[in-house]
Amino acid sequence: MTEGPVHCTNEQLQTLLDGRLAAGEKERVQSHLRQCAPCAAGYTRLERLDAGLRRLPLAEAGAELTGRVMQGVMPPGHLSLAFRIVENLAYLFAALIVTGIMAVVFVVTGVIDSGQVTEGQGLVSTYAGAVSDWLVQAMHGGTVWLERYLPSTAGKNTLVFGIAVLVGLGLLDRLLHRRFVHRAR
Amino acid sequence: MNAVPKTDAEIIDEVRAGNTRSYAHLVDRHKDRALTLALRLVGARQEAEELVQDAFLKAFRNLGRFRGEARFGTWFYRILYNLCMTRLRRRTTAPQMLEISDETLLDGLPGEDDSIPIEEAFERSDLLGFLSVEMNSLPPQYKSAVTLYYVQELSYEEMAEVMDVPLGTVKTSLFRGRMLLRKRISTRLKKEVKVA
Repeated sequence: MTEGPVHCTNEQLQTLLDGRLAAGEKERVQSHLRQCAPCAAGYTRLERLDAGLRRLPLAEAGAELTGRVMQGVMPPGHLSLAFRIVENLAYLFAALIVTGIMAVVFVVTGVIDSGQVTEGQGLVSTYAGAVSDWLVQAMHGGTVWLERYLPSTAGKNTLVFGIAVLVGLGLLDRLLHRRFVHRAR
Repeated sequence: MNAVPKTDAEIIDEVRAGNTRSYAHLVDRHKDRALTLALRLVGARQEAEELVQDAFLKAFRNLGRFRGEARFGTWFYRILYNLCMTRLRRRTTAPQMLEISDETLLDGLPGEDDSIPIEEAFERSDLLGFLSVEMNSLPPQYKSAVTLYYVQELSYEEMAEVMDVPLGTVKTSLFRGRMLLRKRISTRLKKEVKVA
């Protein structure tokens, strides 16, 4: 770059803006900018673009990302007992929810009638063995309990109880995770 | 009284000493910038998040190899950059060619667009949004250079290390990336002037 009609190149102006021009060249370019309106205008445009690029917003990574990384980073041995228990409870709850949905569907669709539920018989107890026996007993107990306060047909109360159990398990799962798992991470 | 935040090097020392939980501070410090880089390179948010997560895990597993000669950021962003480029290479069978057919425009005189009121341009939020869109449409090499410079705030030398290219290539990519953006902004403003 020299004085006179020869203008600065964009590359020179950009390098000046980045603060990477050698001392001697920097002085020459700056001196030229004071005398040359087109080059000064070009420099201003680059400054504006530079400012615009610095103002572009960053993507926001949520706290979940940190949680997922830390879950991969921390071996199970480093996790608290409460963390591990609750982490595994989630699987149990999931299994119970699935089983519960199946049982409710069976009762509602008539595959199992309320009498079979009461007697602990039917498809659920036949195919799911001891676990489903317990579930049927629990549903029966819940239904009886509900009937004290909501006098209605047994089938309807079984449905209400089943839904209440599912919602309760879901809420308990979220509560325990918030209380233990997130804190442990 | 505000506590002085720990440096990356101090956190790394803690992690190496067995306080694995401290790694979360490092993740929190770099995750937004890391996600911005990954998002600009691969485009899809979920994919970008997976890559950032993988990069943090890989960095953790290789923390023993980090000698501290470079900044943690430079070392980490190299891991992330490589993961992103590997993903991009898998996605496209043919390498993306540089989209510049009008290089003469890039080398034009600085006063060529004097009629364009770009001085006030970036005061407008819609133009900032347009700049963001145009940034994403740059060829990967230019996009990487511009992002590493403005988001990660790396020096030319650090960028060369992250991108594993010669210093001259970094300068060229950064320069051309910015000139392309400038040209596209100018073109848009010219259209607006014509419409008005």
